[in-house]
Amino acid sequence: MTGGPPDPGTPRPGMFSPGGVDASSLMSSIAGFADLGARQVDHDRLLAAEGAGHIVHDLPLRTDGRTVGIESRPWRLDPVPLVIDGDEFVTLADGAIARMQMLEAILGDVYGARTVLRDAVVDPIALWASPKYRLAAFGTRPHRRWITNYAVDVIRDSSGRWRVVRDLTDAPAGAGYALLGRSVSGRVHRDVISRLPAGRALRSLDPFADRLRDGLADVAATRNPRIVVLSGGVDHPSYVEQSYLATRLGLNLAEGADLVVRQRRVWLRSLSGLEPVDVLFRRLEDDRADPMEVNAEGSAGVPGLLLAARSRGVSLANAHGCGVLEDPALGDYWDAAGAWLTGRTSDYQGTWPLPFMPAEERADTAWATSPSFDGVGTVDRAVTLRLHLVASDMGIDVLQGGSARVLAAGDDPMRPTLATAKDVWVVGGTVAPPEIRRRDPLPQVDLIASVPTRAAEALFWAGRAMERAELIARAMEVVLDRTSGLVDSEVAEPWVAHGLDMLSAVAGVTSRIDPQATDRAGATFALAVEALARQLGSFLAEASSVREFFSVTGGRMLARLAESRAQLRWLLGTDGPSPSVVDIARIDGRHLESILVDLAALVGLWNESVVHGPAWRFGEVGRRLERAFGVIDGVRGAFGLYEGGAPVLGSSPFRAVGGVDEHADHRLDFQRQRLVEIVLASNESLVAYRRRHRSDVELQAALHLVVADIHNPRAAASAIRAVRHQADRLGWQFGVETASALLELLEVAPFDSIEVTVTTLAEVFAGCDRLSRDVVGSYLAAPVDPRMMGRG
Amino acid sequence: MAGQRYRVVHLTGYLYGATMVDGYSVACVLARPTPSQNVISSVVTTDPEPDEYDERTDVFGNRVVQFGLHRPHDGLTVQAITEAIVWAQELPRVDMAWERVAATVAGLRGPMALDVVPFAAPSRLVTVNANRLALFELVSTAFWPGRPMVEATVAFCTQIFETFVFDSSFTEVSTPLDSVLVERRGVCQDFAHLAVGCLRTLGLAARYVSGYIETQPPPGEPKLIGVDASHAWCSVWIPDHGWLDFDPTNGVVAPSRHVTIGWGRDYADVAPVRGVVVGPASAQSLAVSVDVSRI
Repeated sequence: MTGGPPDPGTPRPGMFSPGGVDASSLMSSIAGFADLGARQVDHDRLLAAEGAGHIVHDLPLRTDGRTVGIESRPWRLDPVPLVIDGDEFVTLADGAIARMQMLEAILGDVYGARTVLRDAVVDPIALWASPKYRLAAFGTRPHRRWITNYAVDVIRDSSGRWRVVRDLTDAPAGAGYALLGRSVSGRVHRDVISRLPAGRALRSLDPFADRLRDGLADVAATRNPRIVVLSGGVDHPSYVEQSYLATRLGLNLAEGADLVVRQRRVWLRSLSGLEPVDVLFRRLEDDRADPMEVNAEGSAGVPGLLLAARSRGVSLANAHGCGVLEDPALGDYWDAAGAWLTGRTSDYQGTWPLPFMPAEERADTAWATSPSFDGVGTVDRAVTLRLHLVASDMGIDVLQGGSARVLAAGDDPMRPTLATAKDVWVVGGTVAPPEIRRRDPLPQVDLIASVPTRAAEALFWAGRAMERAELIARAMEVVLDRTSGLVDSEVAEPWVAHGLDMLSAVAGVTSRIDPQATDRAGATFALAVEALARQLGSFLAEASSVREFFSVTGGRMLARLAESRAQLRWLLGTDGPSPSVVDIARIDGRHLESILVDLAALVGLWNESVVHGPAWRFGEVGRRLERAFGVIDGVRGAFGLYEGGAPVLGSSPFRAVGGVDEHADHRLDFQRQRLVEIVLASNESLVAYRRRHRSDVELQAALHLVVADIHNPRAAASAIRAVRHQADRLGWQFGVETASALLELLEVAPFDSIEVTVTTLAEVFAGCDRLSRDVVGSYLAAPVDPRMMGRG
Repeated sequence: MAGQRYRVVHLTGYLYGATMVDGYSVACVLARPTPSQNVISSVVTTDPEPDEYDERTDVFGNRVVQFGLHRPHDGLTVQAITEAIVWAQELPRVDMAWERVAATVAGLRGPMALDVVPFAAPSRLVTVNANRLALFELVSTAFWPGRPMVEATVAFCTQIFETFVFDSSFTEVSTPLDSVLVERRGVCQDFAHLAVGCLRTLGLAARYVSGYIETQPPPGEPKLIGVDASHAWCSVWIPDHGWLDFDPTNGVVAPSRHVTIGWGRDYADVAPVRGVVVGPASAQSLAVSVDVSRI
């Protein structure tokens, strides 16, 4: 079948006619769309835009030399979804529910009375040999339940029977990906979904997040629990999903070092001090939960966490020890153990509606296939479907859909080799989908201040890097603009060299420039591009580690900037490694412009779409401080206004107050004017200057405008005033006092002589430095990961 | 035979080389009673004193203490003082072929299965499956077909004692089994891991025992090998008898000069002191002393 999306006006036989569409014909009609290639492109684009596909390697980070490597495995979404009929899905879901209950019973037994070991229903040697059978889980009776969140991989054989290939009970991944996949697939296939007839509608995945939150709250020992997602951090393979899920659940994401155990309770290091945590949604595997436990994986996790859990000071979802059910060596035992425990029969064959399929059987079974787009056309491929379940006090809920993995020919369904996923659509059915149950809402609490210290720190550094990137890009653009098209004799003029000095000062590469270099411009730009890439990298690394603070659109901006960063070499007109000198005539200003536009959009989102809570305020402090530093860097670099330095362009670039500098000759005046224009333009203040002053640019007035003028939003003084505002809101006394003192200093600073200007700039710079150090020292001291005792 | 009363002072001292702001430790240094050991007292203290202290019993019945130190400190000393009366273990009255012991282990059901079978399985540090051939080769020179269990155990214990070199410079705890097999040298923990690994290869249940040994000999008795630190040996399960200890480091079966702390599948289950600290990276140092005296 070929053709585009169906037109409701001319229904084709068998397609989308109310009540007459079964799952497989819907699937094959989508597989027959002529525009599948375009839909694949849309899927790819949207997925990348969600940040799910982007790969950022070894990003440099911070002054403390920390680096973060983010490597998200790129995966694709097949534009042909797996469509399952509602009635079949109900049967499947019921089977999965029964299985989850079975596994819950098994966990209670293997860590409790151990009757399945006593009677060797499960081979005790095999169980004890499993590193996932955790000593610390013995004798812990978790509050409410062992498994809150369960996922199961199932596959349909060619006779239509669904079989289990894998149970996921430790920290099951995929629910976040499923939600992400639906948000993409739902947008691309909006035309199809909206035309599904009544009674054949696509079931929504949305209620699942609410059920998950309920389930997490239910395992708490308190009525009004505080829940935190315990993440593996940016280095964890499923970090993107963890942060996406945290955002969807509206929960804070914490890493091990953000949490501390005291008095058998778990506390979050937050901006307002230590805050108790009642439930940890554990995305970190059993062996990484607590370094104090026997056979823990190094020093990962939260020391004392399992003591707190044993003492019921915190509830883990899932409880510690659940991972034992995932051990591939044990998979064959559980169905028998479950049947034995429920007293059904010792001959368990046929007991479970959704049985486990032993590995040897998997090898020679023919699977049912469904159409899959391979970039050219559709091919029939087997798929494994991952179902997600959540247990709460209201029962067990199943995500009404999920995600499927496409198998290559010969793949073990437990280990797909293709990185191709499918959205799973459940449509129609005679059995009504489970109704959305209402329950008493949890009491409201204001959690705005419960921000992990680490998150505030990341936003602070993200703000700084974002601002510095903008300063560098702007300086590059201005210098490029004003020096392109100059003839050789003009290029040799001093103001060009000093403009480059400004750029290298803003980029922080002054010490790496060889003053004798034959091509100063080329060398400076090569280094400036490198610095810009580094700042963008820092920003992305920091922002990615607190992705849950950015809105969905903000997440897309991160993906765009990652792309821009990867393409920065374009600026230098090369595909190879960055050269040490670049021919600036070949630099393409459009790329610079697009980065500046992206950064401006990001600042807009930063201000409009990030909640203005304490974490954002620290980000603002970082961003504004960096602006002040950058303005001063540029001014000092352009005019050589360093303490003990040699000011440029004549012994006295300052006009005497109220008079004409008798030494100033006409030539020097012109040089000075060009340079001042560059400095003004780099700080986006040239227009403001011209509106306020006569056309002649004067150094004194220009310096006042970019450094001290509180009415110029780009001025250092405005930035410091913004810092003071945030300091006031944060209750950061030192910040308020220091910023106020700097503002007073700037208010009266005359900028009428070299000496005064040099001193003023130095004082303001030092003051900003004190502010930066104090905010880091007083608020943002990064929690340190524990290290093993006795290891050097 | 009268028991011997011992007093053991066990000191574990860490110097961190920097000030740590937080520290968490787990210690398995409190003695438990056994059929041949009566614990009079067993007390652990730390310097500085802990801010938090917790004691529990693990699944094998060992006493585990956990403490937290949440103020700045440059080091930590854990002191455990144990007084216990130790009797020489008895040998089984009837010695059956070792294969029958292994078959009994495999067929165990009921509560006894829970006590015995965990020690028949491979464990993290006793990598039976990866070293099965080498371990089997080593153990089969003593455990030949049909040989009585105790006789074979005595021969095996002597064999390790005579063919492996005690070398305190060679290893740290948790040296992989294969390097001990290749180098034929190690310390008591290595020999204990090696011996339990060999026995588990045969389908026997063997546990790793942590404790102390009297190294200074009473008049007329040989000096035993140890490094004035914690000691480790093994115990093997025999039907209708129970657990029989043997110390491959000293070639002794049914020892009488050993004070037992606890047992597990391997070192990791009963490591004397372990933990994590939070603070700057620095060069740490560790000093352990054990003094065992008759009282």
